[in-house]
Amino acid sequence: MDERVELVPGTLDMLVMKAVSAEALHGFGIARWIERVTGDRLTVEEGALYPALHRLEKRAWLSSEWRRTPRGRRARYYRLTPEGSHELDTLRTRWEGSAWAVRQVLEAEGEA
Amino acid sequence: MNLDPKRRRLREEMEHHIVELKDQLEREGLDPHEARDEALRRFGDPERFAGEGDPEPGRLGAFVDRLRADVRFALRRMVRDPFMSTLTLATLVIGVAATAIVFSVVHAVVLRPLPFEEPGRVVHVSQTSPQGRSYSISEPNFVDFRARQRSFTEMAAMGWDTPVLSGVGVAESVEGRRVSHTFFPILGIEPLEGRVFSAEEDRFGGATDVALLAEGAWRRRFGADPSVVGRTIVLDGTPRRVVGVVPSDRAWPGVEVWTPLAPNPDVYRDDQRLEAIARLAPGVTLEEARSDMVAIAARLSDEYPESNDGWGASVESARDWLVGERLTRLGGLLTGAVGLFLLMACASVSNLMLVRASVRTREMSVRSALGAGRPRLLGQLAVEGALLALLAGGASLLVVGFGIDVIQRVGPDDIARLGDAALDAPVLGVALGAAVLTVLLAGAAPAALLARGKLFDVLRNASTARYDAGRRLRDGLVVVQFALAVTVVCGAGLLARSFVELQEVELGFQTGGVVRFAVRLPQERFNQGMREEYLRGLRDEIRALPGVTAVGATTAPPFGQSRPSNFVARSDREPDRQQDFLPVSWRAVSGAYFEATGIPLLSGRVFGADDQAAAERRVANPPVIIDRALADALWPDGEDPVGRLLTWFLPGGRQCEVVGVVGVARDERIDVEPRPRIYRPFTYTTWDQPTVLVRVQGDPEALVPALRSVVLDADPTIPAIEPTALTRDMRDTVAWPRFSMQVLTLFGVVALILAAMGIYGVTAFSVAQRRREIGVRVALGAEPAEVRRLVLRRGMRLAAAGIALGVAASLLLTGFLESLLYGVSATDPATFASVPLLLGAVAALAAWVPAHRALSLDPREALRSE
Repeated sequence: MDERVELVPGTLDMLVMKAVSAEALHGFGIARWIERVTGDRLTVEEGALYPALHRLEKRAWLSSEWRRTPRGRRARYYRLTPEGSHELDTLRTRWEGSAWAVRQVLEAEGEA
Repeated sequence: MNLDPKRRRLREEMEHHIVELKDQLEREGLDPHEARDEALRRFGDPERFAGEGDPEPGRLGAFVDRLRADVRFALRRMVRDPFMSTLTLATLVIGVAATAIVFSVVHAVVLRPLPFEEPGRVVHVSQTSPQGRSYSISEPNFVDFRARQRSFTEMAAMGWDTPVLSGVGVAESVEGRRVSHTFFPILGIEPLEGRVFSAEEDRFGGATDVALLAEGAWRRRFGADPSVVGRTIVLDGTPRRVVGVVPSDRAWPGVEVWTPLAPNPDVYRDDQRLEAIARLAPGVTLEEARSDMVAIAARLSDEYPESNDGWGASVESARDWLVGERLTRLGGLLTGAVGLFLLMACASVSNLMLVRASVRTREMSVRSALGAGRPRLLGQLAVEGALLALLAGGASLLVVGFGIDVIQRVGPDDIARLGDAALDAPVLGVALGAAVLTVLLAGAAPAALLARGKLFDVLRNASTARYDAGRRLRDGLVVVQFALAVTVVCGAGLLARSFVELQEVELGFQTGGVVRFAVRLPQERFNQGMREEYLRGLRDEIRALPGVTAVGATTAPPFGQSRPSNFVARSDREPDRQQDFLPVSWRAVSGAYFEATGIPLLSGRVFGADDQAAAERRVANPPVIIDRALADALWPDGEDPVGRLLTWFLPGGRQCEVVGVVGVARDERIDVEPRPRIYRPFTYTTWDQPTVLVRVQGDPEALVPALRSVVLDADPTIPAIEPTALTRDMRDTVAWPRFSMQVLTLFGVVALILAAMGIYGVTAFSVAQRRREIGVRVALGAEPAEVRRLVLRRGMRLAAAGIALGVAASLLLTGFLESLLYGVSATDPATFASVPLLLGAVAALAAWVPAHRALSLDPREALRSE
């Protein structure tokens, strides 16, 4: 329960884009998906989520449309655009690069 | 609400999110209602986020829109959390209203300049006895002081008078003053109609048959008729021409008529009955005037040693004389107490604001994430504060109007200008200023944290044990509050104990069953024989009334304004100088006085009819009666004073024979050890206005109507002046201590409430922060008592620190109360033991409520709340 992790600054856009890369989701669905795949360790704040969605859409990395949910509610669904897919790849490459670098440093043996 | 499509979309999305969240919570087991609340709580207010975005800067319209939105938002938040809102508002209203009420009274009574021209230059001159006490001035001395002085532009004197006014409605005694013709010019009081007195009218033996009406009396009795000038009124049977109307009511409320003083230079120099005032000449200081007067007094002491030996003079500002040290001191006390209140209210409101902020942690972080920058949040805080100040200010005005009314009704009658207290512009200003200041001070803490970007840190990290700035601040505020509350309550406790002591003072006589009244027998109409005849007749009539057991006469009633004094010595050890005589108070009384008042005769006898006649004829060694205290002072070896001689210093060192010793009667001031007392036989020659005391079986008040009609039957031009039960007089003498006590007790209660609110707020806050921890503990099977102790401990620790600090502060401060206390030490152990206990109990209660609530938390919910 206490193993909750904080969202690393600057990664929200990437996580959101990843969440909608496979299928279109609404905001709540995006938040739930992230929680589910991280075993409830990572929570996305709603207050940050929606501004992020709108920002990404403005840059044309996401597109959105109103749809009905399976339970018949009206909700805004987001999906990744081809440009967004490209951006996600870029972000992911950059992230993995820096994550690798960080790990190298932390695991380095010997003299400091 | 008109929204652009972008905002509408955002709002709809968020509403959808909340609905989904609620569904999820329901699936997790909350009932639908709870689920909705919880979803909203977690998410905050979608309406508001919709309005957040980045505002277009620089447009007035946008600013107004935003302001409107902020006000609406602040209002909604108050409504949504009625308990906290009420608590905050109530705290503010109490603090602000108390401040404004006290200010209105202190302003009217103490601070506002006297209603004179250049009031700072007006001084009061008095004579000082060889023992250093201040006394009034005699007529010849006043004449000499006025003729010889070089420090003043002019001097004037005032004497007391309660003439019977007839010819206007029923004959009635009215409050009056005899004044010099220079009196009103010195004060700069211009007549509304006609003129003031001329020098000729103020000359002894001159054309003194004139009078001035006070404005109030003129309006009340004469319908403000300007033609009253030139009319004749009858005072004590003497016709007097009204020469003018003066606006004197603000300085001397209740005084209806003014007559010329016309000082007689040839009466006794030691008959000190005048109050002298003067206006400092340009460039002359109070000190210079004082030495001038002292020098004149020294010369008079040489010229008239038999009366003036050793007597000096003193000069003080008229303000000190009219307002008095007691009022100034009480004013200071009240102002101090109210200052403490505002501080307490600040602390409470500040805490409550922080608590509210904590409840909104998530919402705040959402808002800041949404791009509402610090200026925006500060603006929101400011709007909320302004709204709070406005509401509290408005609400407190209602309380203030009511409070002033109550104080004027229950306050002692002798506070000049108390009636002037009103909800006027300065008071409005103070109320609003206090409200704004309090909110500013209270908001300073959250605002400072916010400006440093730490508010969220503070609020978020609060559940950790880290000792952060916000917590230190809140704790400090609670400690200060308790310290202040202890101080105020200790003061109230001391005054209350003092008041109880006063009530239990052994008076030495029986006030129950006695009615007193006075009759006015002016010299112009009544010679000695007529007075004797009148009073004897009246006494017999009253005695015939059912239930009356004794009828006595005296020159000065118990607890009256008049407290005549003199100096005596044993004739066989008569000192050369007046300093060495013993100061005493004296009364001239009839033999039945002792029976009427119930003062016990200890040895010898009371006055008989022969004594009175003897005193009248001024025989050698006229009889006197002394009280036990004087007997012990003059004959300390226990000799029987009856039959011994003593010398009565004034007038002219007469020897008198002691015929009786009576018990000590505390009939002047209840809170001061009585001076030794000497009684002379009542004589018919000298007393214009004797007081008659009637002892009756049963209710003395019930006798009053019968008394009034008996007196009027005896002579229709002579009314009974103020027939009053002595018990009422006694209540009036403790009106001041009672008033101080009531005010401070009220303050104490308010301080307790404020302190309780403070500790409640802080405990509730810590419970809100530790929900999760408490939930875990309960889930792990912690005993309820353990959890309660956990929550109580911090609040109680703060309260204890505050109480300790407050006791220390009180011990330092109560010295100021010393002069208001009777029979209780300013460090009374009982008070200082019980007040901390009381506050401890209040603290425990205030902390127990949130602690109890913490226990009733559903562990599941508590765990989820993070």
